Amino acid sequence: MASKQKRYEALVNALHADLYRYAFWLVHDQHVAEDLVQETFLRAWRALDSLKDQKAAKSWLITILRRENARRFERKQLDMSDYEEPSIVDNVSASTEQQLEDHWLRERIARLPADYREPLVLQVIGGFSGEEIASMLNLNKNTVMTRLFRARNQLKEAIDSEKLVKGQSNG
Amino acid sequence: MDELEFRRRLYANPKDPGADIRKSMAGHPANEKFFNDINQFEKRLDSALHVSVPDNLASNLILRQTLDSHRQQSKKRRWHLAVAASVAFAVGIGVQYFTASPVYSSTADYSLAHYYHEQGKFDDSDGEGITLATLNDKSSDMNVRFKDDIGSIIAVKDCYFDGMDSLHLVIRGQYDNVTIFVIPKVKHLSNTPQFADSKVHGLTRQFKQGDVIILGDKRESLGQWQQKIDDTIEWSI
Repeated sequence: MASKQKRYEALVNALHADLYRYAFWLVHDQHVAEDLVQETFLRAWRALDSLKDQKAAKSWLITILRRENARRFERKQLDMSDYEEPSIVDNVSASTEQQLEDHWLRERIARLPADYREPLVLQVIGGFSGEEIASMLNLNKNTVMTRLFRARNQLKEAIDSEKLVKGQSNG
Repeated sequence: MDELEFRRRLYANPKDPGADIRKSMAGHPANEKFFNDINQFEKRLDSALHVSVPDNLASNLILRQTLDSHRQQSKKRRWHLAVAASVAFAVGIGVQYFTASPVYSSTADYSLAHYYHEQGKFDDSDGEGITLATLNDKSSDMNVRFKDDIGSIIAVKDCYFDGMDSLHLVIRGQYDNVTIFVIPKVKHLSNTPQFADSKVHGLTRQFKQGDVIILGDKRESLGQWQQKIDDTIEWSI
């Protein structure tokens, strides 16, 4: 019992941040993301004995979270329209240039199609390879690589055009 | 690798460790610049994607799990307690049922069962010194006394007769011991004036205050015993 508790706490400490970030990019809402993470870890605790491979812990948790999110949509299908316009809430007051830049980029990331955004988050935050992402999302690897390419490409284009606008107004 | 492929690969994964990527940069300043650009961009992306995590999220997760497993345990405990209580209740009812409820339907059945249960426990040599006074002392609990000797007594004791206080007498008979029960008036057992099985026969003598049941070997003439009882028994109430 005590060792199960220790395993759980280790899991929480090691992975809660990445899991929260993944949830946040899935739902664009801090509170919903937090609830999802809570629910995910609770399920993980109850099923902890089935987690044999510690290395697989992160993708295991993400799978639970995705399922949990799908359930949330089943529960409140009427609310789905609320998520059509993702809004990024973040503190931008008293922020450094870096924070402003992050904020700007976050809005662009939020506007990416979910199909492009999810592999990107899994790659950058989760550190998963193309193959791993493909198996988690039930896609083939080429599709995943194409989506990753398109995600970055769209963001890069957004940055470049922003620079252009800035350059014009400055010049 | 052509330039387009090079760019596609790095857009898909700026950390692509492929040797062919390195090779494509060697001697190609444009490719190298693109590589640096995309990795610069990747740093920004990384920073933007790493949104801040709510304070205390980790401790809240551990707290919630602790509460949940506590709740589950106490649910389990409550469940165990409920089962234990149900079992205890059932056992209580069962014991009550088996001790208090009549298993026998008639005084005859019970007398025979009692007779066989104690068969062989009495020895002819027992009962030395049991006088009429001893008998009457014992039988006073049943509000009964005997005016005269009824025979050679082997044993006299207070007995439970299907849950009721009764007097149990064993008297030396002609062939085997004769057993006499003096019991209160019963409602839950039916009365059979005469009864028998393959070895034993018996009769029930009904008095106003109680019944006397006499059992003995089939060869035994119970009538004479009944006569003796009728002649000597006195009910004080």
